[in-house]
Amino acid sequence: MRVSRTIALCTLAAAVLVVATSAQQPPAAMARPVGVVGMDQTLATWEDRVATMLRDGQLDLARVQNDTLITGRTHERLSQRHEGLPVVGGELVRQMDGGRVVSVFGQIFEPVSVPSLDATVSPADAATIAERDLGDGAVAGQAELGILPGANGADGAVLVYRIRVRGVWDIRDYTVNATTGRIEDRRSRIRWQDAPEVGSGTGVLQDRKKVSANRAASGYQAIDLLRPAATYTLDFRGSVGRFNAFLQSGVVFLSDVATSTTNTWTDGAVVDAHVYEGWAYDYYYKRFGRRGIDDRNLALISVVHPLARANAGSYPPDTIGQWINNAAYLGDGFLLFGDGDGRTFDYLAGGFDVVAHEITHGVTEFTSGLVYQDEPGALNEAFSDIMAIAAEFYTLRAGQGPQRGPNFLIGEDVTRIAPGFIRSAQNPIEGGTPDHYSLRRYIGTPTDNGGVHVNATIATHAFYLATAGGRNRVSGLTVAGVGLANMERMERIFYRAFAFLMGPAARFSDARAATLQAATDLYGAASNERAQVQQAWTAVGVQ
Amino acid sequence: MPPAVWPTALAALCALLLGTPSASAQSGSPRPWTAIVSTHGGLQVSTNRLAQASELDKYVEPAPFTAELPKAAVPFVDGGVTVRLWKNLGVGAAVSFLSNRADAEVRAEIPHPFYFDRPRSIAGEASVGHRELALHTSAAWLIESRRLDVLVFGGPSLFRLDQGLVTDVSFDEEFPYDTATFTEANVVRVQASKTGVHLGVDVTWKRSRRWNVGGLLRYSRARFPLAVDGLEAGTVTIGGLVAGGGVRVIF
Repeated sequence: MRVSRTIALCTLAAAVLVVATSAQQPPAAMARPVGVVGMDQTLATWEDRVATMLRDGQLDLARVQNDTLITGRTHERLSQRHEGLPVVGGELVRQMDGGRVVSVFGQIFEPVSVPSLDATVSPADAATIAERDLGDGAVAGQAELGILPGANGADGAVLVYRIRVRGVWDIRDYTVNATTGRIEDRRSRIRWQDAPEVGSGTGVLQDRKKVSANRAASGYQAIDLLRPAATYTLDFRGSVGRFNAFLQSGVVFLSDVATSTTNTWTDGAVVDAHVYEGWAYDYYYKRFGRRGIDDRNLALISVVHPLARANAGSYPPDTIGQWINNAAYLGDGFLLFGDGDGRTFDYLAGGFDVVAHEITHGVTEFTSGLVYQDEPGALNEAFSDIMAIAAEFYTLRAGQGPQRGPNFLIGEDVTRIAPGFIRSAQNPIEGGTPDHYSLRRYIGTPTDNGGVHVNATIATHAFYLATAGGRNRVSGLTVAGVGLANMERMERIFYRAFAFLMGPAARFSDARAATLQAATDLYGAASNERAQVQQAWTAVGVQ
Repeated sequence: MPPAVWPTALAALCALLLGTPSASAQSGSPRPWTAIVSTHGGLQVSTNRLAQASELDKYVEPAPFTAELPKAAVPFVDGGVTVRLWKNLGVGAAVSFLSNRADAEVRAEIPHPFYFDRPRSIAGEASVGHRELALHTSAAWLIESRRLDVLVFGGPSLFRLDQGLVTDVSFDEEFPYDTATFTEANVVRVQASKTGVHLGVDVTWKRSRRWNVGGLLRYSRARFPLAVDGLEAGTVTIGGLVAGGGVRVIF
């Protein structure tokens, strides 16, 4: 987006330069802009010239505006034409007082000479070229032929298509060469204010947070421009139609961005999704030096209120389970946080660990790419839980966040039914998930993609034991752990193993090997950290 | 001790210090004084130049800051006249002025843009001016001796303060915003007037009937509550003890 803005600014600067230099008349053979100033002594000349051009079809009356300041005056906008096609940038404004010409201003191009008026690129192909340039999800409008002066060297004009394309994060006007298919010009239509401001908001749990927002003309947008990776929080306002369109096309618009008339935000789901994404970014950056999910500051785009909680009763159970009582990472930096039905779950964005969990799926997408099935899928989920827990400890230790503080539970802030959390790394069996490899379930079945959520706790429990220490319920083995005060060491070991050392098909045994290697890399083969990792995996039955 | 006794007591004290009878004026001075015009230059010791404690709002949190200049001796100039009313009792008026500009130490706690209760400390300097203009009106009692005249005086003072105040601090920061660096402070001049009091002693070494030299000790004081554009800047005490010397012309 910054690139788009830069292009727009550069284009504007170029246009200004063109006008400024128009007084220096170029050789007649080149289509160059002619600045038209028809007033006082020069009026008669341009009055006649404009009349002639209108008669010859070189100018076309595009529209007439009534003068709201001087009664009886009108302003005619005259578009330059060549062989019936509009000349891009050629336009005059003729001020009329009844039938009398008062002034003429503008710019035309002379002479206009196009090698060929036969387009060899079809409108559809031109549209495809423009869509491809703007990226996935871009949708082109009608392609219209025109003449672009000064675009092709000495002969000065080329036949082009002009196409407006709506993309995921920009709306651009493209000018595509109708002969070669080359993109001659692209300009964003969005006029950014780029005015980041810090406001405040009340989260799902009624806690007050700082909100990094963008000041727009009509209020504030949930766009965080203060971090290196921009964060956009979209509010679908529970619109089924909007949500379905998004699922089908993957296209989102600037109008989807959550807004507030003041910089005091009151929608808890918007506040928490927006703020927690920023906190998670901070955690990864400060702890591991990682710049966003792809380590290249890919923007995060989250959707809240995909389906309204108020309508939860009208949806089938599958829909409720998938889009209301759930949160998801959709790929390419897109996240989604359901409203929760209010009975089982609160707004899912209200849990910092939930948000950090989903963002970590993004990290996995751009690192190990752990396949979301069976054991690799369980490790994928486990890594998300481990990093979510770590992020919560890292952030909430500083006194921020939900009331319940940091712990080894996932989703405890948004779960309203027993046991009061989604998964536990400390005591998985309390949440009905295995705490030992021998208890793994659903592997090779379609249930839960082969038990990706269920079996994740085997690995998260190993992380817990290696960190806080404890006794595994099944094996009876006790692990001392490095201690909570040294939690950072385990975070680094597991992050290194999952983000850098493991492949997409890794199994639990591979995770054990990778974390041991990471511990050796970071702290040495004889280190206590490595010993604790080894004992923890052994305790949960992973060899 | 009742207030009325003060002049007599002071006169007696001065007489004792000077070793000269305080009744010398009564012993037949051929020509009683009519007026004394004096000018002084010297130092106002322990001048309160700036001790500001204010609070801004940054990133939806209070951002307290202080701006301080340590007390210092600041040069002053002074001129006045005392006119005899009855016996050795007179009334006087004097105008004193001092001006000083120095770099104040500015310290601020800048809130974090993303998190509550994670202030970042910054510190820097800002050039701040301080001016005091005072009109001292006083009742005076002259204690004469052969070589020294001592004028004891006191009364109300009207102060005009021109004070530089820090109204904002600027800083540089970049992600992750855990630290910030002071860049500059915005300083505005605030002017205010206030009534205070003064008390002093003026000693003249009589070298001739008219042109003489002498010294001045005067303590004055006034307290100013300072604020600008809704920014409370605390209360400043101005004045202080001045010590100087200069010329006396006795009429």
